[in-house]
Amino acid sequence: MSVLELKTLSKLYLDTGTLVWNGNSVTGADAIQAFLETLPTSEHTVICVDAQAVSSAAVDAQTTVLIVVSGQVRLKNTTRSFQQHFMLTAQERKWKVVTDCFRFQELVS
Amino acid sequence: MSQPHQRGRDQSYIVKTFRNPNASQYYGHDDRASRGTSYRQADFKARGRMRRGQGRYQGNLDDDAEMGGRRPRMQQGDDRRRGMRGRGRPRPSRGRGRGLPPGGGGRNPPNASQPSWFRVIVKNGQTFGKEFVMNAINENLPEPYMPIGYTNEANRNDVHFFVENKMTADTISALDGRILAPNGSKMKIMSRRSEPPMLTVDDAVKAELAQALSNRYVPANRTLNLSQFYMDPYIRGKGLYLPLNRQNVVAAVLEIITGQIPEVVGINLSKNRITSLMPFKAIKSSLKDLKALDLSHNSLGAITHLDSVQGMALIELNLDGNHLCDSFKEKAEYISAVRKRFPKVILLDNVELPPPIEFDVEDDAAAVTKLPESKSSYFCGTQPRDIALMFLKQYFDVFDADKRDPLMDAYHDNCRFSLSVSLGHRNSNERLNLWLPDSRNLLRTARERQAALLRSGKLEVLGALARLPKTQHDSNSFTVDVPVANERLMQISVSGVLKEREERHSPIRAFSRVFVIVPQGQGFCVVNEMLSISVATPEQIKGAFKAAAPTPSPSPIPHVPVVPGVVAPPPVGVVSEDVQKQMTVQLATVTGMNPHWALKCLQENSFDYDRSLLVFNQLKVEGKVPPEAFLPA
Repeated sequence: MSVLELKTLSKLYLDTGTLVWNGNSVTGADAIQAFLETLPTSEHTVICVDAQAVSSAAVDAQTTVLIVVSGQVRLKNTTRSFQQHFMLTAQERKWKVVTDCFRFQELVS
Repeated sequence: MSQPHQRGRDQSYIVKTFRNPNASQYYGHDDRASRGTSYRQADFKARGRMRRGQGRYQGNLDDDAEMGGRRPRMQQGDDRRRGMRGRGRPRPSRGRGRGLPPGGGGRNPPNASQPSWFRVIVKNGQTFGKEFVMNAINENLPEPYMPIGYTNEANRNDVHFFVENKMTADTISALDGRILAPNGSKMKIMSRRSEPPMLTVDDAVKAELAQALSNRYVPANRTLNLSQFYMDPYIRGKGLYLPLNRQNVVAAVLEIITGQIPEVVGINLSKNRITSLMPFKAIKSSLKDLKALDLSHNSLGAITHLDSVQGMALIELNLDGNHLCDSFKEKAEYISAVRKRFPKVILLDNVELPPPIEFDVEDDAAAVTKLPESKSSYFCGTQPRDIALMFLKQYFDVFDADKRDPLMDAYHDNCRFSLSVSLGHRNSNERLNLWLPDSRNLLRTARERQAALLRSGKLEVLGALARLPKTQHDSNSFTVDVPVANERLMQISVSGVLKEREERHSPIRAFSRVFVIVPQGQGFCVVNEMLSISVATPEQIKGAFKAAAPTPSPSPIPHVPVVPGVVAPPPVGVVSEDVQKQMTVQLATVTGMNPHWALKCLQENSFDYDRSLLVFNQLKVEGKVPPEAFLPA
């Protein structure tokens, strides 16, 4: 995927999509975009990607995929490992994010 | 936060408050004082103090004894060393101070740059006791004298102490043989020219330092005036000599400042004969509010000395009267060199500089703090939460067992499973060998292999799970996110740590796993599952398997409020306006409340629909919902 501008991120998400960013949940494409805009500049290095088609037992004919991503993200001066799980669904020939779960690889109390 | 562009007049008096009007009168020749050796020689000549071959001697008296570590420290009471200077010049033995050439030097109060220290020895002083010795001596002095560094010598019965001026030293040594000691004989007193005393900075000394600093701190403008600290009357009054050009003294002083007044804004270190800023390195990280530093009239020979503390957000700096200023032919060069190390300086050597031109980018410090706090597990509803937790508990109980066969029932006929292993560059020594054979990374794995590594159907999936190393999961480390749960499916994303329990040293691994489960019969089964293994961070390893907790604990459920509106809603998340509207309509319909009250209820419960409904029902049962909630808006 080519580089996108931050302000068009909302288009990637389903209107009712949910982002859970380290336990902070945000619902709705616009709210998600607003939330992501508050995050500091970051640079992601993707090390590992895996994907599966979600079984029709769960979604019938609604084409849906599950993607897991593993890598490192650099925020200001610290680098951290992260894992991210996406569930994408096809909406009129466009992929939309239904759920986006992002977690730093860390101990959370 | 520093705002150089809005400095204003009020900031400039940080420096002005440093100025000690008394000092400048007393030490009128200060400008020349910091010029180092050359000045001292000149001074000698002026006072007719040329000693045969000893011209340089005096000037180096202090330099060599203090910082820089160029020569070993003199031990107190080490008589053998007294005859040797680092440069190999033997000291003449002076006898009772009479070896000094005439010239009357030292009659004036001690000059800032030219201390002349003397060590006075009282034979058998230990027997007589300090009180007797000092009383006896002081009776014969025009003014009472507080001995510096009064010490019982280790190998003999003598005591010694230090005197800073020749006149006093002469007067004291002249008492030799004149005072009757308790043992019947006359007290023997000698004085010799000496290095400045090197005192150990122990806890008792630190306590005195703390008091002295406290005397010199002005809380109103958070400034600490340490000018000429070696002359501090409180410190001297305690018989101590603690100049700030000694590492151990600086270390103790900084420890006290950091511990007691870390909010200090300005420090005046002028006239302390400082030759190096290395001992001051710590202020960079521990004194975050420090904005003004006065280092004037010290012995900093080169601008590179500032490198030890560079990068601080100083607004005011004074380097006047340091040798380093001379090496710049042009003022602009000097300013530039200072600004390179302290970009925000506006007042240099008491002269206002034009404010620096910067780029309009965010302050680093401000940006970093913007990261939202990581929270523990998220559940999109209470029912999903219960289901998810129950599922995970049952699942991992079996997964962690020796045989994983029973998991068969947890999977759908059309299930899928794949594993990916992430080898970060952080720790390439870690061997995730046991997981690698089945690892499917679409960025790396060959196309032909990709299909095979995606296991489909119960048999393949259970086969793959059985091949994975035996594990023990640390449920206390789990964070569980359930972002979606409806009649058709639920997504459960869980991450944490596990250990390979059959391996030597039971290595800890970080895992991240996502399940998509669907209802089946009375329960649920897995249709899609992806497991990701990576190298655990040191923190994760350290915190692994510490507490015994059977189930992962989600965010606490807030208790039902007794009076509507009083409870503080938990931070569940942000819900977009559209969704809010939908919820309001829904809740109003279901409960019969008007939209206004429905919205109120949702707001009080952070737009957690389930909870809002729960709360409403509870209150209704208690009869606490006011009738106007049901009136048309």
